[in-house]
Amino acid sequence: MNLIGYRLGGLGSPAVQDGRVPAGPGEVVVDSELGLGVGEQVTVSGRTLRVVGVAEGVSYYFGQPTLFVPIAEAQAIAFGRQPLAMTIVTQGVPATVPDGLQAMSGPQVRTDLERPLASSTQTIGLLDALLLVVAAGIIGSILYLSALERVRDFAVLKATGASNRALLAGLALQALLLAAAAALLAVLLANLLAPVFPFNIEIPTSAYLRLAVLALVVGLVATLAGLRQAVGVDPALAFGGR
Amino acid sequence: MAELEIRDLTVQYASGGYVVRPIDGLDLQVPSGELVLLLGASGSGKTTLLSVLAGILTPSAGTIRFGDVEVTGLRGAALTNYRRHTVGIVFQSFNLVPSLTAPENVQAPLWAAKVKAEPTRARARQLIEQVGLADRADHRPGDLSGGQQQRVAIARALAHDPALLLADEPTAHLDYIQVESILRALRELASPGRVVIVATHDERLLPLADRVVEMTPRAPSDAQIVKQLVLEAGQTVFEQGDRSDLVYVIEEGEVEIVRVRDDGAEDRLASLGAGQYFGELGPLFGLRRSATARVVTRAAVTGYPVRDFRQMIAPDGIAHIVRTAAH
Repeated sequence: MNLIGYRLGGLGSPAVQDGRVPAGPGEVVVDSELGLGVGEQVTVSGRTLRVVGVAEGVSYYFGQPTLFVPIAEAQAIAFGRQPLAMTIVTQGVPATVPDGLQAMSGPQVRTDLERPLASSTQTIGLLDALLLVVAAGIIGSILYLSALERVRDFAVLKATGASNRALLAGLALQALLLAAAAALLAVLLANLLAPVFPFNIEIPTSAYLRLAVLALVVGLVATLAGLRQAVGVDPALAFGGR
Repeated sequence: MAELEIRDLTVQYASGGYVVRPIDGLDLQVPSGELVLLLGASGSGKTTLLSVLAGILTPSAGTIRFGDVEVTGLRGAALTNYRRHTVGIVFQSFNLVPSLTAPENVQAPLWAAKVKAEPTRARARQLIEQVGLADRADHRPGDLSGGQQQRVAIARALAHDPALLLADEPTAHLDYIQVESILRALRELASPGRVVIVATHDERLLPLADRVVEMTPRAPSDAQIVKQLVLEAGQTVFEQGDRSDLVYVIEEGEVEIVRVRDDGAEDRLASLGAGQYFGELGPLFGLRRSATARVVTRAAVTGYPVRDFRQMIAPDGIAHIVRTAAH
């Protein structure tokens, strides 16, 4: 879990959904993800704290719940009661910053929080790309097998006057519908599954747009898989028995 | 004037690494309204001729003229246009698209020709009714009997009201009850303004035809008498692709049997001397010569009609000839 100690009444006070903010030592506000209610107790590093409030959506590092305690309590838990702090929160931008400290804006802090997660997000990005390649492969394979199965149909259509362009357009349409259906299913699943995850998931509009473009590209690339069957088929194949 | 005119048509192609010539110098004239039967065994060139007539296969030599159009001179879009509008094909095994309903199968050639949706549907409906399948209009090929599928195939072939209707073994997969309706339909379609060509190996279809083209290479009439030949080195007794006539026995000299490959090279299959025979399988089974017999040193050979040969060489049957044949 993450531990935040703050000066009571000062900046950093959590927005409590249930109960109240801590009024003194031994009291704590917990994230709802921890599953504790007001009045319950939680032990942190051997110190027993009483839950006085529950806040929602205050987690970071992929859903790790956060505990808000008076700063003295945090110093007792983390620094052996020494008067130390890791962060100073200010209102407005400080004109000068003491040596050894660095001024950061809200978005900068948010980005900085993601630093320890860099390798994890990179792994997820890699998986994301791999899954896209696999999806393209599956759609391509389906189309290839479907084209292979219909070689005689292509031959018959060609023998009856269908042009290569018409056959390709049919294939491309099938691939695009397949890719679009897969993308739609992905959007539905993402929206259904997002709330189930133990941390907050935001799907930006750009992700939907990227998916639509990707579906288009994957569909068109998959068309290439069936290209040879449709274009290369000899219409004379339509003659003769099965 | 004949509606369909074929002159000196030859089709030659490579198959299995060797040169094959299923059609060799075919001439045929068919007036409008006739039904022509291409009769012959498998491999006799029936389907090849249909493919050439359909504009799918380009012949090696010769011309085909249909009405005012010289089919063998058509290329590219003109050929596609000919296939679309002049030719209708009824394929063996029906060849319907299984995922489409009966009317949709009939509509397919019209889609390809970019005919508008409403006329396409109306034409398909009319043709499905014409072949007597109005009550099966929502069915897919898998739910139809063989005869019904073949009638859908005929309806599809008629989508553009073609002047040339080609049918490849249209009764091959049907029982005798279904055959009747297909034969009646084909016969009725051979009306003024249209030529119907049916390829079949089934001689029972003979009464259907106005004209019959025998595709199996029959031995010429002089193949009934014994023929003696004296040939110089380099001369051939017969050539690969020729019609088979006699079985030859070498009296003296040497004859080599060679097969011409598609790259022009020759495979030497056998070298034969006095007392040996060659060229027996062609006339026995009604096949064209599968190799060339060429004289190596001045040779005297005697050609025997099949009946005489059987009497002379294999009075007990031909099985051992087939087993021991050099080619």
